Amino acid sequence: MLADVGGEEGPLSIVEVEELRKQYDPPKGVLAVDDVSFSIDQGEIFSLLGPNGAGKSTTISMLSCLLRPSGGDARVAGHSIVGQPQGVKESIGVVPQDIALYGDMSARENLHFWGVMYGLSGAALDRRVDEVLELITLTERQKDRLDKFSGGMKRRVNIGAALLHEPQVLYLDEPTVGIDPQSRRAILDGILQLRDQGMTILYTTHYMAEAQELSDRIGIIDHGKLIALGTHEELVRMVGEKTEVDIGLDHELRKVAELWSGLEGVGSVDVNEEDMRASLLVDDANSVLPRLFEAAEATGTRVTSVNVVEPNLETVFLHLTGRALRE
Amino acid sequence: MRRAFAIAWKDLRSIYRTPSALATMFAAPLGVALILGLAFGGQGSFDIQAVRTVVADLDGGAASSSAGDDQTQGGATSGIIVEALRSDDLKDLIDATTVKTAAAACAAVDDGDAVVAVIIPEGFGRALQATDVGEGAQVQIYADPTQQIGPAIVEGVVEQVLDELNGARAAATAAARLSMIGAIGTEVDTDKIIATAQDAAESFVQSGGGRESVAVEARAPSLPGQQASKDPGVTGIVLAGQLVLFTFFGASIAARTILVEQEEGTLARLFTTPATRTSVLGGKFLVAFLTVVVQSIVILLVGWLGFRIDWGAVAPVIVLVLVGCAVACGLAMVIGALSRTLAQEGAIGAGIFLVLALLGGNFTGSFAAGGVATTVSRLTPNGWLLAGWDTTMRGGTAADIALDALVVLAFAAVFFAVAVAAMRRRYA
Repeated sequence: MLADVGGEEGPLSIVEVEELRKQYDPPKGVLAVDDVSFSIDQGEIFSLLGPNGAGKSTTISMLSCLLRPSGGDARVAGHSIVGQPQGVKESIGVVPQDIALYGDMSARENLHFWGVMYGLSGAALDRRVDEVLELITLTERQKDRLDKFSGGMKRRVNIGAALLHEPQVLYLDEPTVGIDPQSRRAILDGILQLRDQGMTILYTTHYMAEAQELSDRIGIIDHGKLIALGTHEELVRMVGEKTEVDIGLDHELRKVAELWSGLEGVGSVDVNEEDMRASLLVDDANSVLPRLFEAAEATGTRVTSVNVVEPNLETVFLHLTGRALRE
Repeated sequence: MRRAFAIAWKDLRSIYRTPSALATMFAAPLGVALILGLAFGGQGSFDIQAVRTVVADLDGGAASSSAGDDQTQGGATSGIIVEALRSDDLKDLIDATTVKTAAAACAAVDDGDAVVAVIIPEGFGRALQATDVGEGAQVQIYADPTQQIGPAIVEGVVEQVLDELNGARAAATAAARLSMIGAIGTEVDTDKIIATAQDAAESFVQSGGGRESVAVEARAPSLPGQQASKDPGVTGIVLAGQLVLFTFFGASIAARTILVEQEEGTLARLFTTPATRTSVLGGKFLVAFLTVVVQSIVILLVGWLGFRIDWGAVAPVIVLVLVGCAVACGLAMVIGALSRTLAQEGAIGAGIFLVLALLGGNFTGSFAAGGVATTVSRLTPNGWLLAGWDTTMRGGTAADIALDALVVLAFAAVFFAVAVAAMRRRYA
């Protein structure tokens, strides 16, 4: 069931996804994407937020015409991904989750090559390569082989290669995975800059903070289903007056969690045994917290930490799925 | 097309920047050509040691090989066998010496001085010239039981000479009898007719008719409209077979670059760009094609310069190299498109190439053997390619190999189409 808390779709949708479905090895194979529908307006950043394996990359692969949908369709810049893949591919730039570049070529050679793949040539190609090198701040290192670059620099080239032809829509599939905070900051700033220049961006991530910071609208996806859709504020409002409380215990986590889940005012309880922590969604933290402590004490368990979290996307995910969105 | 060239150029640069890839490109074909050339002698034939043979001509004596007027007719006839065994044509195969007695001949074999002893019995010539079947003579072959090939060669030569002599004798006897039948009622001296027939038979074998027929000659099918064909030699045939096989292995670079790109994620990324499957695979095809063309040229040059192999006229050689490389690359693309990993590609590729080589006749020459073997070989591109090379090395022209080349090209086109379709299944 889709909890669409946003307003009506505007007339400027550049991506329209209709009941998109992907099942591997049907009829018994994994249903990776289950009738997902959403639209992205021109010039907005739309994030698909969900844990690993939720179906984000599969959705992007279908919207990139890499995977044929088992059902449904999508139109990108007016082209059907099923019937007009060539038109779709000319309209999009895709930044894959992993670095997909040639390590034995320099940054410039890589960009030049991908520019040709996007149909650029001659002076226009050279000009765009220069501009993109500047955008990703690698002009000085343009002649260095890519396999000499740091992870963050490779990520920047990975993004730059998708920008050469100035696509109408840019897909970024978890572009900040495994990089240092400084490079992550640079990438996020670059994405915001692209949005300001009018580019439409579809961004997938399992980092709540990134989705919150970047996105005009967010779709929360879990087990292949789009379970919520709206702006950050709209999604947070879904939680109502609920508050997320993170509590650390020294032992007996599961036993205590069972006790907590039976208490009045406690919504959902998600247990992370690895960290010995539980995330609870409660109606009123002030009134519920003493009873949570009492329950823990009754089992001889010591509370090691308490963190009351203001409602955010994590809270929303917990509210919708009963599970925490682990980063 | 521009995208295909860009992909090919990228891959080529990558190869030239990788020492191991360069080594594979040049050293491997060089090594294959050198090893095979040296293994097969480089002179176009096998180097087999001549069979040490002793001949005891008890009917004519050791000197009978140079028959003179003073010798008996029997000695002259037995001398034909001795002459055949000592002929210049067979000197590379048979090293024949004469002894005076059967015991000496057998002793030579027993002592290991000779592999075979040929003993021509006394009365051999008389038995040959007899008009009735009552008389007979057997040439004895006494051979080292541990040897197989040498005695078989000597026995074959002796049998062929005997067949010729017996044939001449039978023809002469028949002619004499026919003359006698035709002469009934007339005053004709029948003894004189028989003597004349015997003289004719003797004259036939003396004239060298028998010698010519025992001469060993390598024969090969003649091309239509061609008087005689060149002998490509063993080295040429073997190297052509290995050239075809090596082309397939060399072309698997196409499959490998596909799989390397797949593992590194760049292949999927390529398919998110407007580059079509045909241009992506076309680029891969092109780089593999250029690589195996270079490799083929290396092998051809080594064969030509190092081992004096006459590959044939330039035009058909170029055609065969190009279509051979095209079909090898096409097949490699199919294997690359169907394989999931590099290890899988290596195993599947090697298996397919070797099966095709076995069926096509790379190792056995079955493409020219006739019958079912040839039919089976023509189910493979190898069979057509090898037939083309065989024709070219025997002096054929581009027109003579046109059918072979067209069929190989058709194989290449089908393989490429299958690769594109397989890639379509993997990437929508």
